[in-house]
Amino acid sequence: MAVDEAILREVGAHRAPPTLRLYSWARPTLSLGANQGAEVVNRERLQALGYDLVRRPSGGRAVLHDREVTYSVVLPLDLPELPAGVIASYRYLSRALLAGLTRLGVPVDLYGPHAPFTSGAVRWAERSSAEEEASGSRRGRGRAAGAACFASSSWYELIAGGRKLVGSAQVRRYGGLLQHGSILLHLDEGLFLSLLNHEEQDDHEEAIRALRGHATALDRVLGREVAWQEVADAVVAGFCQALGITLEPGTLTAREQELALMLEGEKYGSDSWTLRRCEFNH
Amino acid sequence: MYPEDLRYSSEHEWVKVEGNKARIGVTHYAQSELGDVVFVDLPSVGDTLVAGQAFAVIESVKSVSDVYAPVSGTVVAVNDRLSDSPELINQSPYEDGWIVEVELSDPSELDNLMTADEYRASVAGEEADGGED
Repeated sequence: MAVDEAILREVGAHRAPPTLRLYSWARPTLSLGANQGAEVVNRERLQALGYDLVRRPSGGRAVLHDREVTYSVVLPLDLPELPAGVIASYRYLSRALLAGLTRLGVPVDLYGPHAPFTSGAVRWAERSSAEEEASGSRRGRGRAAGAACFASSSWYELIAGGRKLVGSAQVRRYGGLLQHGSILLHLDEGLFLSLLNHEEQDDHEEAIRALRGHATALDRVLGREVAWQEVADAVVAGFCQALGITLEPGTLTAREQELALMLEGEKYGSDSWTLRRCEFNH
Repeated sequence: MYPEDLRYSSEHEWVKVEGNKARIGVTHYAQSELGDVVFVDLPSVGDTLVAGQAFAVIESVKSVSDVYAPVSGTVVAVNDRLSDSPELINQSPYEDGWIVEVELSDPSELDNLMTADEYRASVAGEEADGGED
C-alpha cells in the first residue's frame, strides 16, 4: 500500500511516468477499504494464522490478498486519454484487464448495464450493490459477506460466468488516480470469511454459499492451476493491446522508494491508520 | 444544474456567499462523475481551510476523492447530516448536500472563482472529452 501511494504521489506530480505495477504479498494480508470499520475483522483469527492487516488508501470493502495477482495502475488525472469520472475511468481500465484475461482464455465480461447476466446472483448484486457498499463502507457492521469486496460487483468490474473475478478500488489524490485490485488465482471462501466477524445469527455455511455465488477465481473458471507469471504477462499484454500503449519494465525511482519507506513507517505500518475507523475503539 | 447565484471552482466545488460567510459543496457535475456517495469525511468546526488544499474526503462506490477548498477560511458549521446520509451529495448537491460553512479569511479569493456560465462552459468541455469511449 505504501508503494502504491508513493507511486501515486510521484505520478500525480509528473515526476514519474504512468505506471502499471503487478505484485504479490510476502504474507497473506487482509486489506480494508479506506473508510471501512475495522470491527469487521476477526483479529484473533488473523493473528493465529500469522496474516497481516492493512488499510488501503482506496475505497471499497475487505479483500484477502493471498493467491492472487495484485495490480495497480497510476495515472495523472490530466492524462488526455483518461476519461473524467469514476465510472468512465473504471470502464477505460477494465478494457485493458479484459483484454489481458481474454488472452488467458477466460470467458470474461464487464459487469454493467449492458453486460450479459448469466446468473440470478448477479442480478441480485446489481440491485443491492449500492446499498451494500454503503453499509460495508460506512458501518462495517452486519453480515460478514456484506463486508467482503467480492460479495458484489460494481459497474465495469470483471466477471466470469456471472461471478466477480477481479475486485478493484480507486483513490484520486495528489493530482493522480490510483486504481488497484485483485485478480484471484484461487478463492477459499471459508478461509476468507473466517477472518471476518459474524453476527450471531449468521450461518457460516450459508455465507460461504452466498459468496461462492458472487465470486470466482481463475483456477475455477479455467479448470486448471494458473501461475502468477502467466497472468502477469497476459495483463501487461492486455494493457498494451487495449489501450494502444507501450510499457517499459522499470523499478521504483529513488524518490518513490524513499516515500514508500516513509509511508510504511508513518502511515500503513501504524495502528493509527489501520484501526482509524473501528467502532470498538469509541 | 448550475445555479446563477453561486461561484464555482475548477475542482468542481461551489461557493454560496452570504456576508462574510460562505457555504461550500460539490457541483452537480462532480456528484455525477463520482457516482453514488457512500461516505463523507468532514472537517470540524474551528478547522482552517486553505484555498486549493483538501479539506474533506468523499468516498463514492469504489473511489475515494479529496474535496479541495475553493476559498480560505475558518469552519463555522459542518453538515452533520452527511454522516448518516452521504447520498444527499447526489440527491441535493446545492441544498441538503452542502458540506461546510466557513468564515472567509480573504474575500478577494472569490474573484478567482467562476460564474455559472463560465463553469458550465468548462464542464461542457470535460463532458465532451470524457464522453468518448
